[in-house]
Amino acid sequence: MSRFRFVVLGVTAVAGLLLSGCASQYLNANTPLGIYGGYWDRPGPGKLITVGFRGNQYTTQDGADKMVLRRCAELTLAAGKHDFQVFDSPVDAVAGRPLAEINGAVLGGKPVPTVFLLVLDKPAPRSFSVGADGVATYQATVQ
Amino acid sequence: MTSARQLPTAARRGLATLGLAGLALQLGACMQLPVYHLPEGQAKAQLRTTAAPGTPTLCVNHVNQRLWPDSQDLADIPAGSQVSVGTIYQAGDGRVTYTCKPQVGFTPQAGQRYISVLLVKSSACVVQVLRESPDTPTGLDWEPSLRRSDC
Repeated sequence: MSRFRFVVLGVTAVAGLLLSGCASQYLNANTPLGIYGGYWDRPGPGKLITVGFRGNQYTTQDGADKMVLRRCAELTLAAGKHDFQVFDSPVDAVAGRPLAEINGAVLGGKPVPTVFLLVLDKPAPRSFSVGADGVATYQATVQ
Repeated sequence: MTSARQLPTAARRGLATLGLAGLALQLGACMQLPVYHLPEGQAKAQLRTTAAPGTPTLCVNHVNQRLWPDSQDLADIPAGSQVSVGTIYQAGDGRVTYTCKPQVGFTPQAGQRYISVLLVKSSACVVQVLRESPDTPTGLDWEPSLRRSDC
């Protein structure tokens, strides 16, 4: 077998290992690698931001939910704020019923959580606060 | 029970053809919806469809039609009487296609702007309609006339 064939086989094997059997990573689903899943977000409805994660069959529900929360924290910091609330639906947002934890949907065995993010100017009861490490922590009450 | 793998090749091909034909019929049915045009002189409201991906629909007088939003995802809808709005949404992974056609009824008020939102849950999908209201913390407000679709 020629050296070229060895190289082709090697590259194919490595690519196969990288692309198969792996849960969706934390990356933008709208990039070329996003065909394997990832986060996405879009402005609206209203002042909310719709944030979701598209997992594959290897992504756990808990893992996908955490990635949505991580994206919410990133968007909050990008808006120059530190506090946010997440809602299951816009009606819940209007009613002031934020989520304490994300428990998203599963479609065809793949987790596809979607939440509605509201970035806050200041801490509020039942909101998440983003720390210096970028990690969001839930606070039921405001101290 | 006989599984698809135990069937002869010809039968499997037949099943595949039937499946494709069914899918084509389904897609054809979506595309055949007539496009809604607001009658001249009719009081109007507007519906934003950005948050409801798929083919937006409007049911007036029990007739389902397709909405054709402008470049800002806004579509004119008639005000003053009950209509139903919804979307025909399809999602799939190349092997399985999921389709849902949720609708909700309400009575639009003239000059008011509404937004429809599609929510995909594990066992169902629903569409919510809210009023756009820039003065509220969320930019949204309740629509009090919401009711079951009559279409």
